[in-house]
Amino acid sequence: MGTEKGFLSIILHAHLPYVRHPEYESFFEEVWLFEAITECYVPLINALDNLSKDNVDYRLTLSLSPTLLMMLGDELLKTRYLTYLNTRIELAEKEIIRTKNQKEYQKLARLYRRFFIHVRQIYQNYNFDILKAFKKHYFSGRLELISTAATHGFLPLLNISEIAVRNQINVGIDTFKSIMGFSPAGFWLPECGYYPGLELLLDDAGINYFFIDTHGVVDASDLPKNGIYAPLDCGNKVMAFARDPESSHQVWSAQEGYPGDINYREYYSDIGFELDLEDVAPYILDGKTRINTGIKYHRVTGKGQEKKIYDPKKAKRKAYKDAKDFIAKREQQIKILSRKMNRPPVIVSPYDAELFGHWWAEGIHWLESVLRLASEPDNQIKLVSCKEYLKQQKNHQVSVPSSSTWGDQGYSSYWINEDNDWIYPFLHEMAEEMEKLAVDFTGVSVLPVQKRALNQAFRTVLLAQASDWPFILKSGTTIDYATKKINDYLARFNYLHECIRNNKINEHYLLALETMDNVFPDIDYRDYKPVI
Amino acid sequence: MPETTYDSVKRFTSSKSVTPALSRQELLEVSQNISLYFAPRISSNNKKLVLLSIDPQHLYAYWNFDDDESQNKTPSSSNTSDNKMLRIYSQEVRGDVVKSKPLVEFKIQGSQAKQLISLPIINRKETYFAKIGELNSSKNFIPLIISNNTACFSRQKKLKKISFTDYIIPYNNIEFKIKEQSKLKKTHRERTNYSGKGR
Repeated sequence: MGTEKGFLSIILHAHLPYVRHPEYESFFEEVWLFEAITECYVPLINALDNLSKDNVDYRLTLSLSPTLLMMLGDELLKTRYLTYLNTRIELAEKEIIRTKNQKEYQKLARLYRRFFIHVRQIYQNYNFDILKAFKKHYFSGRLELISTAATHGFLPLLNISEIAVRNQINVGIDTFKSIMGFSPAGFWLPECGYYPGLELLLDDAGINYFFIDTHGVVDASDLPKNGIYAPLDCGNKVMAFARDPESSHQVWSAQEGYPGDINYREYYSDIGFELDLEDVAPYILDGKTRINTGIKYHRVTGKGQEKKIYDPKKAKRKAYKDAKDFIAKREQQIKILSRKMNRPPVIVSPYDAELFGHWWAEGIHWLESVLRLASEPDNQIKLVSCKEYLKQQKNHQVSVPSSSTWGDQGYSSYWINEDNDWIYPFLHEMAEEMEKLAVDFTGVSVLPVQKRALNQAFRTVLLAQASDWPFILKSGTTIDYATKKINDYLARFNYLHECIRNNKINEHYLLALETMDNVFPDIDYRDYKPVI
Repeated sequence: MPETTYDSVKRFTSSKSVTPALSRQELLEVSQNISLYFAPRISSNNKKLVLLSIDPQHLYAYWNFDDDESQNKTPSSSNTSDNKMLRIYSQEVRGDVVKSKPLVEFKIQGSQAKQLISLPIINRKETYFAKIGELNSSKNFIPLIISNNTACFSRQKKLKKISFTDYIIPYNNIEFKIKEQSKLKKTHRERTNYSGKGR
C-alpha cells in the first residue's frame, strides 16, 4: 500500500425479504423491490458507471442478500417492475400537465420524468439485469461483492439448532455462488448478529471475514489492542471488523446525521398522500389506499414549519459539501488514530444500501462524491475493501468477539419481545422436524416427487426464518403482512410434512408451492441432516 | 411516450417463461386451503424447554410438555400442577470442573408457557440452563425437563458517550476509556429497512 496513514472501508448492505406474489395480479409489498431498484440500485449502478468512466480508483463493498439476488433475477418480477416504472413515467407526465400553472412544481415534475426515463434506460442497457451491472464492476476490481444468510435469518435466535444456522449460511453462500459465479470472501451477518462459535461455521463455509457492531469487539475475550480500528482474528483466521460509531452516526443519526438537513428532499412528502384521490388513484393501492408514488415536491425544511418546495440543485450542492465534511472527518480521525496504533487504522462504515437514494434521495450523489474525494491521490486516506486489507495486513490479534447485534440496545431484544416472541416455538419446532425428515430420508430410496416435497419443505423453513418478520412485528409497520407470511410458511411446512410422512403427495399442490416459494432451486434437503 | 415492456424484449435476455404453469386463481386456492387446514400448531408430543439469551441482563424461556405425563413420572409430587417451578441455573467451566448453581426460580402459573428472566448477577464467563420441576411433599425439587445451554451476552466495559478516540487503546495505556452504550443511537434500521416501511 502507499504512503496513506489509514483506510476507509464503506459497506452497503442490500436486502429485502422475499416479497414475490404470483398468486395476485399485483401486490403492494412487491413495490418495496420496485422502489429500491428505481431509487437505490439503478442510481448506484449509474454512480459506479460514472466513476468507472472517469477512471476513479474507488473501493466499495456491496452485500447482496440471497432473497434479493433471487428477486432481481426473477422473470415475473422483472416484468412487473417495468410496468411499475412505466406507470411512474406516466404519472410524471400527468403531473407536468397538472402543474402547468405552478412553474416550480412543473420543473420538478419534468425532473421526475427525466429521472424515471433515465432509470429505465440504464436498466435496459444492462438487459434488465441489475446483477450483470454489479458483476461488471466487481470484475473491474473496485466493487467487492459479498452476501449474507439465505433469508437473512437472525442467527443468535436460531442457534438452538446448529444445522439451522449452518444452512442459513451455506444456502446463502451457495445461492450467491450460483448466481454470481464466484464465492464471496466476506459475509454480512444479518443484523450484525454474532455469537461466539459462529466463526467456526463461517470458516467451514469458506468465509474470511464478517462485520459486527462496535461493542462486539470492545467486549472481546481479550482487550483489543487497536480498539475497533483493526480486525480481530477469531482464533481460526476468520476476521471480525467492527463498525465505527463516528462515521455511522454522521450518516445514520436522525437528529445530527446528514440526511436530516433542511435542504434535502422530504421522504414523507409524497403526492400519493397529498393530491386529490382522483389524481393519483391509478398509481396507488387498489385505487383507494394511499401509498408513496415516488414523486415528492418538498424539502425537509425546519421543525414545525410548512414544507417548502424542493430545490434539487441546492440539495446536490449540500450533498457534495457533506461528502467533503465526511472525508475531512475521516482524515482527522485517521490522523489521531495512526499516532496511537502500530498499523494503519481501518475505519469500517457499514450502512443499509436502501438508505441511499430511497430514504435519503441525495444519498447516492453523496456516496459518489465521497468515493471521488477519498480516491484523490493527495489525501491521507485510502479506500479499501476488507478482502484487500487482509491481503496486505498480516498478524492480527487473536480474540473472540462478544455476542452482539447492531439492533436497538445492541443485542437481541428487537427480535424477541412481547410483540414477536410467539414465532420462536414454531420456528424451532419446524427446524427440528426438518432435521428429522432429513435424517429419515437420507440414505434411503426416495421418489422424485418425495424429493421435491422434501426440498420444498426445506425452502419453507428458510423463508419462515427471515429476520424481517419479527422486525416488522416489533416496529409495528406492516404487521398484518408479516403475521400472514409467517403463518403461511408454517402452514405450508405443516402441509408438506404431513404429505411426506403419509407418503401422499398431491402434485398439483406441490407445484403450486414450488411456484409461489420458488427460491433456492439447487437446495438439497439432505443438507439439513446434522453434521456429526 | 412509448412504453418499454420486459415481455417485448425478454426473448433476447431469457428463455424462461414469465407465465407460471398454474393460474393465479389456482395458486391462490392452494395457498388459502393450506392456510385454512394446516394452521400453525405446536405438537403436544414434543416435550421441550428452551432458553434464549436476549441481552446481558435477560433470558427468555419457553416450554411445552404434557402435564399428565409429568405427574405420572413424579408420583411423589403433589397431584396439583400448582407446584411447578422454572429454575434457572448458571454454569461455569473451569478446566475440567463444571459448576452449576441455581440463580433464580419462578412459580409456573396455570397454562403459562413462557417467562422473561431478569438475571440477578452478570458474569461473562457463565452459561445458563433451566429446569422445570415440581416440589415434592418434602419441598425437594424434582426436575421434569431440562433446557439447552445458552451463553450469556457479555458487557465488560462501561460505555459512556460517543467519540471515536475512546475506542482506541494505546499500547502503553492500561486504562480503556469507553463510553455508555445505552447513550449510543444504536440503530436507525426502521428508517432504512424496507421491511420496516409503512403503507
